[in-house]
Order: sequence, then C-alpha cells, then structure tokens
Amino acid sequence: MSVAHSWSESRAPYAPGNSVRTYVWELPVRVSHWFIFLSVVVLSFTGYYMHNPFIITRSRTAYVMGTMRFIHLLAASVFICAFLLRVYWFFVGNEWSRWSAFVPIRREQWRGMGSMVSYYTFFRKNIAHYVGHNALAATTYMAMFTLMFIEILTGLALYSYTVGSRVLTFFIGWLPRLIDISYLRLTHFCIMFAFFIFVIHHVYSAVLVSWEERNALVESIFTGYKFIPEAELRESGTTKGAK
Amino acid sequence: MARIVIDPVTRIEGHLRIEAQVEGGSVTDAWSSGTMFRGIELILRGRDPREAWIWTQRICGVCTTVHALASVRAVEDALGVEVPPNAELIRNIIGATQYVQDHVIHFYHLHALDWVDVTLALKADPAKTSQLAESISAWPKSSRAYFKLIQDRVKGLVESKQLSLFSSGYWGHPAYHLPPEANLLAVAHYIEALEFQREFIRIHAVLGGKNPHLQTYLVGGMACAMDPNEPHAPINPERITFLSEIAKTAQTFVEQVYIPDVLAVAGFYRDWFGRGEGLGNFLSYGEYPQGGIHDTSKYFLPRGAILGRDLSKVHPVDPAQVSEYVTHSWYEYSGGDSAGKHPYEGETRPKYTGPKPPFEHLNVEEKYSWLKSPRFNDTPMEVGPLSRMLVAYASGHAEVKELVNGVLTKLNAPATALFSTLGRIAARAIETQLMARQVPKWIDQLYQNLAHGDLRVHNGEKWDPATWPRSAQGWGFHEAPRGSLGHWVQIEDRAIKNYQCVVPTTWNAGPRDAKGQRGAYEAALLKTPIADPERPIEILRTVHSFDPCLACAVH
Amino acid sequence: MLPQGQSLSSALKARGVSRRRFMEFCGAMVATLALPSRYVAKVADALGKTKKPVLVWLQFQDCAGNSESILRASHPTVLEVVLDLLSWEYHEIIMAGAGKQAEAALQRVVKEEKGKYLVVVEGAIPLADGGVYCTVAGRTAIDLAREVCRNAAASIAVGACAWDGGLVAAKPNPTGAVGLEEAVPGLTLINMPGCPQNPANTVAVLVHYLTFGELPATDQYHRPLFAYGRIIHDQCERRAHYDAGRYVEEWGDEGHRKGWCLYKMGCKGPQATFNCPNVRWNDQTSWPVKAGHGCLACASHRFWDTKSPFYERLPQVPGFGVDVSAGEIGLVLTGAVAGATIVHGIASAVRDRARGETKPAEDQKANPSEFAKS
Ligand code: HEM
Ligand code: HEM
Ligand code: NFV
Ligand code: SF4
Ligand code: SF4
Ligand code: F3S
Ligand SMILES: [Mg+2]
Repeated sequence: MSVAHSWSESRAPYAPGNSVRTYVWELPVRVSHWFIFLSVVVLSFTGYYMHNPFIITRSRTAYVMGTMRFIHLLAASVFICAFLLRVYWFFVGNEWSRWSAFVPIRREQWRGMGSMVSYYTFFRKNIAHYVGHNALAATTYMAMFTLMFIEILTGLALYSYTVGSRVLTFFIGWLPRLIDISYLRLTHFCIMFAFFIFVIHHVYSAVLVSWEERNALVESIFTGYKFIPEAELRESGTTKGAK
Repeated sequence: MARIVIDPVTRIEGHLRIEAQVEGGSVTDAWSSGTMFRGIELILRGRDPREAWIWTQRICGVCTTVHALASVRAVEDALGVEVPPNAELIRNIIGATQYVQDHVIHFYHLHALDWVDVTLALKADPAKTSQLAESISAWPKSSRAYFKLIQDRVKGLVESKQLSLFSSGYWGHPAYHLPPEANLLAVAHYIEALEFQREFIRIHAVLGGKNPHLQTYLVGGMACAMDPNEPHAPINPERITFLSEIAKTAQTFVEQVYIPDVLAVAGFYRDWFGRGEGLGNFLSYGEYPQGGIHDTSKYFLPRGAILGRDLSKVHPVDPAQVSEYVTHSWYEYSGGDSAGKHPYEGETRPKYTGPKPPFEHLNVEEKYSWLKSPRFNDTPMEVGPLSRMLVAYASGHAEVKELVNGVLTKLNAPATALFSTLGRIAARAIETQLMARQVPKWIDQLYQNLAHGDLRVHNGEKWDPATWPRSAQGWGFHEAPRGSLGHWVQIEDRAIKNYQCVVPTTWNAGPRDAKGQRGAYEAALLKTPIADPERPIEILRTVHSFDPCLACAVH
Repeated sequence: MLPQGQSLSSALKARGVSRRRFMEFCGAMVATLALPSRYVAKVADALGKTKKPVLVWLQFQDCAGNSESILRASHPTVLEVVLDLLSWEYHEIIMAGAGKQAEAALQRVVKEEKGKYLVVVEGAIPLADGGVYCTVAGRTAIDLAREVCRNAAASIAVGACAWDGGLVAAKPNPTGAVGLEEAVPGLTLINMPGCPQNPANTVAVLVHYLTFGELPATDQYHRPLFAYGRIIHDQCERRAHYDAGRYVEEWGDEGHRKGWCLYKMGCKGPQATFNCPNVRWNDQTSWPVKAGHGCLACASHRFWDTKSPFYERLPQVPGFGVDVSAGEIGLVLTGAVAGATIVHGIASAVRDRARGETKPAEDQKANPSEFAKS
C-alpha cells in the first residue's frame, strides 16, 4: 500500500489514505492506445490534405500530394496493426480490457450509464466510481472501435481502387461493388470528424474523472496503474492487480 | 377516305408519329405526336444550377451543345453574370460549327433519300455522271473512275441482297424524279459527307473535349483556358492553327458540294416550292452576340418575328410573349388545361391519357402527344433556318440578302417560293454557307485576342454560390440549328426550383392548342398530294424539311 | 455464336492471328485507335465469303448521342462497319425505310435471323405506368426490347442510359426508367457505358465479336475490361501535377492555363474507370480533361446521382442542400462539441466549489449499486 503520487492528489483536501495502486491497463492496451492516437493524428492531417490540398506548390520537383498519400498509407498500416493488437487483447486481456467490459450487456452497466449521464448533465452531484471504465466511457470506446474498423474497411477499399491490386481487391473488392466508391470516400472522410469529436470529449472527461476520483486516471494510460480506494476494490469484489 | 400512320418516322432524331387523313389523293388533316418522355425538367430540380448545362445537354445528342449553351445563359441571366469576349467567341465558334455539322448531316443522311433513289444509281453512266458533276461544281472528286468505284460498291451491296440501311426504302416510287446520274452523284456525296462530318467535328473535340456532349461550358464563361506560350493550354496558337485549317475545308465542302447538290435537286423537284407551306409565321431569337448578350443590335443573326408571310415588317420579340399549352398534350396544369402558361409559371406534370399500348390509332380529339404547344402571343410559329434567314433577309442583313438572292436567281424563283418544303432546304443550305464563312473569321478574332494577351475565358464573380441572392430567375436562349430554343430557370437557396425548356421542335412539331390552332408540321402537311398511301414519301419530304428532333421537343 | 464466326477466326488463325494476338491488337486498336486497315480487309473478305451478320439498333429513351457518336467512328469508319462488316438492317435515325416498311424490316430480322443477329440498344427503358413513356409504332419500349433482344445472339447496351438508366433514371426517375440488363434479364449482353459511349470501344467489340463469335471479357458490370478496367486518374496526362500538388484553383488562372490538375474543380478522374484519356475522342483529338474541364465519371455506375454535384469533390451528404459540403458539416460539429466541452468544464469547476467536500464513502452508501460489479 503505497501512497499515490498524482497531481490530482496535490489538490486533495483529504488523502484517500488507503487507496490501492491497481494495475488496470496492461502494456498492450497502453501501447495500442498511443499508436492509435499518433497514427490518427497523422492520418487526419494527411487525409485532410488529400481531401482539400491546401498547400500550393509551384516548383517542378514538388511531390506534396504523392508524399501525403504515402504517409497516409504508412500511418494507416500502423493504425491497422495497433487496432488488431487491441482487438486481440479483447480476448486475452484482464477483466477491464476484455470485450465484455465494453459491451453493455448487464443491467448494472446500463444503470451505470444512466448515472454517468446524469452526472455529466449535472443531475447527480457526485460521480460514480469504477475500477475499469465507467460504463458510459466503455460504450463510447466500443463505438470508437467500430468506427475505426469502418475507417479501415473504407480506407482499404479506396486503396484497392487506386492500386488495383488483385490481392487487395480479392479481400475488399466486395465493398465498392456494394456501395459506390464516392460514398465510401464520403464515409471515410466523415468518420475523421467523429474522431475529432471523440478526442475532445475523451481527453476532457479523462481529466475530469481524474480530478473527481483522484485516481490518477490520466496517468493510468501511461503507467497502467490507477488508485482505487480499498472500499471500492472490496465492493467490486476483486483484488486482482492490487499490489 | 383513309387514315395514314407513319410510326416510326425515321431519319430524324427521336420518336415521332404522324397520323394523316387522306382524301382524294391529298392530305386533308394531320396530327403530329411525340411518343417518348423522360422528364428532364423534373430531374433538374434541387440540383446545382452551375451544372444544369451538363444535364440539359443530354436532352439531345444530335444537336449536342445547344442545350448546354441555353442553360449557362439562363443561369448567367439569373445571376447577372457577363462572360468575357473570348468565351463569347468560343461559344460562337462552337455554335456555328454545330450548324454546319448538323445541316450537312441532315441534308445528306437524313433527308436526301426522300429525293434520291439509291437503286437508280446502278443505271447511271459513270462518264455522264462525271460530266454532270463537273458541270455544276469544281469539286475535284468527279472523275469517271471515281464514280465507277462508287457504283461498284452499290452494285456489290445490291447483289449481296443485304442492303443494310437501304433495305427498306421506297425505291422505285413514282415520286422520284432524279436522272440516274444525279442519283449516283448523290450517293457519292452521301459517302463523302460522312467522312466530312467526322473530320469537321474535331473543332468541337478541341474546344469541347469531345463530341457529342461537349464538356467545357461554365456558368460565367468557358473552361478552355488560353495561353500563347503554354503547350498544354487547351487553346494555344498551335491548336488555333489546327482549328482554322479544318474550318477552311468546311467552306470548300459547303460551296463545292452541298450548295450545288441542293440547287441540282431543287431543279428537278420545282413543284415542291409550292408545297408544305405551313403557318407563314416565323420566329427567331437572334444569335451570335458580338458585344455582350444584352446588345441584340450586334447579333450576327437578328432577332425578330415575321407574321402572315409579310416580309415587309419584322416584329419585335420579347420572351414574355411566349407561353405553352397542354390542351392536347399528356400533361395537366394546375388551373386547367385550356389556359397557356408562361415558362416561369411553367409546370411539367405528366398524365398519360392516350390509348393503352399496343395501339393502332391515337385519340386525336383529346390529348395525343408528349409535346406541349408553344405559342407567341397565342400565335403558332415556325422556327428554324428558314425563319432565321427570312428574319435576316427582311431586316436587310447584307450577306444573307446576297446569298438568298443568289440562290433565288439560280432557280429563278421569287422570294415567296421560300415559304415551302424546298424553301426550308434552300434556307438551311444558305445558312450553312453563311456560317461556314463565319467560323474562320471568329477563329481569327480568337487568335488576335490570344496574340494581344487577352486570355480571359471565365468570369468568376458569381462562381461561389455564397455570392448569390436567396432567389433569382433567368432566361437563356440559343438559335439552335432547328430554331429558337429557350430555357427558363428559377433558383432558390442555391438550388434549381423550376426549370422549363421550350425547344425548336416543340414549336414545329407541337400539337394543337386550346383554340385548335395547328402546329407547324400539322399545318404544312395540309394539301400534300399522296401518290401511294402505302408509301407516303410525300409526307416524309415535308416533315423532314423541318429536320425534326423529338428528344429535344419533349425532353 | 455466329456460323461465320468459326470460318473467320480460322481464316485469321490461318493467317497466324491467334486469339491472344487479336486481343492485344484490340487493346492496341482502342489504345491508339489505329486499326491497321488490313484487318478490316481481312475481316471483311472473310465475311464477304458468307452472309454478313445482321445488326439492328433500337432507340428508346435516348438522346441519340450514341448514334451520333458511332457516326464519328474512324478506324474502321462507320461506313466500313455498316456496309462491309455487317448488314445494319434497322436504325431509326438513319435507315431509309419508315413506318410500316421499317416495322417490317425489324420483324423480318427477328423471324428470319432468329438467334443469329446482334442488337444494339440505346437509351433507357421506362417501366412505370405500363411503359407508356416510350412507344414505337404503338408498342412499348419494354415490349420491343423483350422481343428483339431475346431473339438476338447478343445484345450491346450503348451509353449510360441503356446500361443503368443513365440520366433518365436519375432522381426522382419520373418514368421508372431502367437499363436493358434490368429490363430484360438473362440476355447475352455487354454494356458500353459512357455519355455517350466511345465509338472506338464499341467498334472494337463488334470486330471482336465478328472475329471470334463471342464477346470480349467483361467486369462485374458486364463492361469490357479493355475499355473500363483502368482509372482515368492513372492514365491522365495531368497526373504529375496532381502528385506534385499543382492544382487549378480558379477557372482561367495560371494553373488552368498551364494544364495543371483539375482535382479541386471537382474532377472525378480518381473515382472513375474508362479509357477516355488513351482513346480520347473524335479520332483521338482530345478528351474533356485535356480541353480544360474535369471528368464527370460518365462511364461509372449511376454517375448522374453518385458523382454529382460535379463541381464538388465528394457527393452530397444525404439530407443537406446542394450547397452544404461534408467538410463544412464536420467542422461545424467539431467546433460545437469543443465549445460545449469548455462550457461543461467551467460548469464542473463551479459545481466542484458549490459541492464542498463529501467523503466518497458517504455518497457511495447512498447508492452502492454503482460500484462496478465486474
Ligand atoms: C483514423 C483514420 C483515418 C482517417 C482520419 C483518414 C482520413 C482520410 C481522409 C480525410 C481522406 C480524404 C478523403 C477524400 O476527400 O477523398 C482519406 C483518403 C484515403 N484514406 Fe484515409 N483515413 C484514415 C484511415 C485510413 C486507413 C486505415 C486506410 C487504409 C488503407 C486509409 C486509406 C486511404 C486512402 C487509400 C485514401 C484515398 C487517397 C486517394 O484519394 O488516393 N485511410 N483518408
Ligand atoms: C485518436 C485519439 C484517441 C483514441 C482513439 C483513444 C481511444 C481510447 C480508448 C479506446 C480507450 C480505452 C482503453 C482501452 O481499453 O483500449 C482509451 C482510454 C484512455 N485514453 Fe484515449 N484515446 C485517444 C487519445 C487520448 C489522448 C490524447 C489522451 C490524453 C490524455 C487519452 C487518454 C486516455 C485515458 C486517460 C484513458 C483511460 C480512461 C478510462 O479508463 O476510461 N486518450 N482511449
Ligand atoms: N429541336 C431541337 Fe434540338 C436542335 N437544333 C434543340 O434545341 O435537335 Ni436535337
Ligand atoms: S485532372 Fe483529374 S484525372 Fe487528371 S490527374 Fe487531376 S484529378 Fe486526376
Ligand atoms: S472525361 Fe469523364 S465524363 Fe468525360 S467522357 Fe471521359 S469519362 Fe466521361
Ligand atoms: S449519350 Fe445520350 S443516350 Fe444517354 S448515355 Fe448519354 S444521355
Ligand atoms: Mg418543356
């Protein structure tokens, strides 16, 4: 039982005293998280340029669009790998990173969402506490994973269309046949904004929750450890990961 | 008393059906019906007005470009956009080129077989044909050997018993009057004209990217950027040279082949100067601005109307005087089908009430056509080359007067002879010569501007829809090869609210109006003699003299 | 299969023209539009020995643009095709006969040439209201299409309209127009889309059929691969400018005069397959992009709706007006959320003050159920 060292602690008028340092995010979760983040930043920038080339060049040797597309595809591969890693971990990871933690299948998950919503909308004074994700976050995450998947599909479809590679066409060719290529582009483009919107809320809520729970949440996605009051840990009927 | 039906009327564009009442060997009444509807005016609603031209151009692939031009002009009128002089010139070159192309194809490939019996060409003596050819023109392809070659080709065709396109003609009909030599000559030129049109239309390929359906119009100008020093500029000196070379060949072909052929044919069918007279009212919006669309006085062909065959007076024309009836058309109007509507109030509400297909006859007492009935101050008008030439002639257009009088003296016929089936053919030929002369001049002006550094082809002030008023409306016109074309557009919230096209063939081939006044075809067919009701070639002669386009007429 | 298809292809084989070489030549022919006239000669005299195959051309809800287009064919010319290679027995826009005689000509082919003739279809076929929107000789288009196409050896749909309804079937499709494939299912058929179709490709298909008695290889839309297999964008002479990042920004600007890329002006080249840039039009003279305007993707499926608005890069977002782009919508939404978040942040800070201090333990007793039970 060590005492938490977290900036959210510093403002704490009282120390949770017996908070337990709990290992919540295993390495693959953290790694995939940050690779996803970095690649999305790159993909969005290059992608937006592809949508609307805002850099005007005149030089004979310039290769701006070519480069942007190259980087986009590079980042896309990173993105895909990180995504696949995370999906793998849905099935082998700990209880907080398993798929079941993200799909609202149990009644208390739905109730949990309700209380989170009422918290965000100021109907509840205080936040409900969770060891892993709160139910609302978990569901949005699931939604994000789904969008990532669609972005990958549409991206690959666009790619197969431009390179006309037989292999790629074999795997993804069915999609452009199903939905016209220009609507795939549109979807691919619009989902980018879904990412923007997510990140804004995501970062904000992470900070907010850290602040409220004083549980070093923000740090957790770097270190893997959260600080959970003993009581909670006991209530949540687990001591796994507790050190 | 018999009811003749011609459906399909062939060697035209589109789906035209003629029903005629024949008594005592001549037509006592006639009904003209268009039997295909697409609803393009409805499809345009809610779309970006800047691209309307791309859609409307597909109204017709024969008179391609004309609906594109009328459309950009309509939107420019609504938004108050003036196009730069270069754009005006390029549009004029494209338009004039279309006249020559369309008229040549019409005479040789759509109309000629009404006057020329291909099978008679076999009886011709190539040597005599060569003499005939040399007697009427300086055109080099006139040797005996050449005509022999052509004749053998026809022979081969006939012997193969597979006459292809010529298999079902009215061959041997008593109404054919040309001597065998003239037939052989015509067949040769039928083939040459096919080659000619293919070469000549490359002017459109350069300026429009392709033909049919050119792709370089823009609201505010044209997309063919110009630059004197850029090898990849759509228009540069090298391409202009190419254009003017092709243009020159056209002038030669028209003056040495088309015109002499028309005169020759007319010479053998003089009685058709007295037939197919029609309404006697002629309309022209005027065309080819040479100092901005608003200065009608500088138009190359004047605007005006001639009423009751009176060439001494040219009446002013205002688009507000146009209206369309649906009394005998398969549409319904809010507020009843007996009143006409100006295109700004125009409606396109299809409502088929004709016989259930397959059918033998239309119910001509009720509604019987997909064409509406356009009227000018409630008067039916004829439009087309004849109208344009008469309006120009009556307004004292020097060059037109010279050409018209030239032809009339050669045929020693009075000006009034022009109110006829042959008159339309002659007027079309004269107009072709006029425009074939004009194309090189405009190409040269374009070159001058290029050389003097005026490179503007587009006015972008109103390109961004954000600069548009909440609602606007405009009228765009064009004197298309077949006559007066008008597009009326209403724009609201940057989208098309209503779009109405009143098209040359709608004027000419339209059904009766609320007052029962006949359309131009219906009127022109009256009193047409019919030698053989089973093979009514005489009806085709008069109908074809208008150069029908039904895809245009209904759209 | 045409009976003479055999004799001819063997005739050509005898001359050492393998099917493969012929396909290459077809490819080359459309790529360069230079059909060595000896081939026409060969094909022609091989056919001359027997009876020429018959072709009929039907026009329905069309603009005749495809008929005009075929008149511009250059290698071989329309005349060589119409008179030497085939017997072109029915084509309303140009045939000699009219009315009864025309009808009779068509009926003769359907009866006497049953299963041997080719039929070209131009224009869409209206199915709404019993097909009254297009009749010929009192019969509906669909009625004629069924009879004539089902009795043909093969059908060729030319132009966007005959392929998928084209412009006629664009929203709201007032006449219930469809393409031939949908109107008369189960035909031996090839689609030659484009608005209009490019005659170089259509003539190549005809020559191929005459030579081997069968249609060339096609894609899932039954379009011949040699013509519709590659993206415009990848064959475009302006592609280097695209990759470099040199774009036309305004009509008539420097980039436009220098022939830079039209991507930002809405060019659909990156989303369209066709051999337009290689074959070009009117005897290889030019093509739209060369002439200065973007591609419309006129050979793409349902392009009138899927590729418009033509001056925008992407289609409209369903439910928004023509003038609202996806980018605008996205940026506005993102901005809105950012704004909301800031407000929420301030509000939370205020709550934090107002709330004062409560031991988490206490309010947890209030509603214990909210401990994650996982
Ligand atoms: C968060 C992830 C991603 C974002 C935000 C993103 C964003 C974008 C954007 C905005 C465009 C331009 C769309 C247009 O206007 O035409 C684009 C194009 C494209 N993206 Fe992505 N993308 C992402 C992931 C991917 C992935 C995973 C692939 C997989 C290969 C991919 C492949 C492509 C391709 C091939 C194009 C078309 C480029 C071209 O026009 O040639 N993208 N992307
Ligand atoms: C494209 C950008 C991002 C995406 C798609 C994303 C996605 C996710 C996902 C899916 C999770 C759930 C963890 C898991 O089970 O995989 C997560 C957790 C987390 N992320 Fe991000 N993230 C992004 C950016 C960021 C950024 C910039 C921060 C910076 C503070 C951040 C902080 C966190 C934290 C603190 C958690 C744990 C919160 C919790 O337990 O609910 N994320 N993120
Ligand atoms: N009528 C007509 Fe057209 C023409 N010329 C249209 O404006 O033919 Ni297709
Ligand atoms: S002009 Fe069009 S087709 Fe050519 S490179 Fe640019 S975007 Fe591609
Ligand atoms: S450039 Fe595009 S729109 Fe134009 S003809 Fe070629 S494919 Fe069709
Ligand atoms: S050419 Fe005409 S027929 Fe249709 S495909 Fe284009 S509009
Ligand atoms: Mg109309």
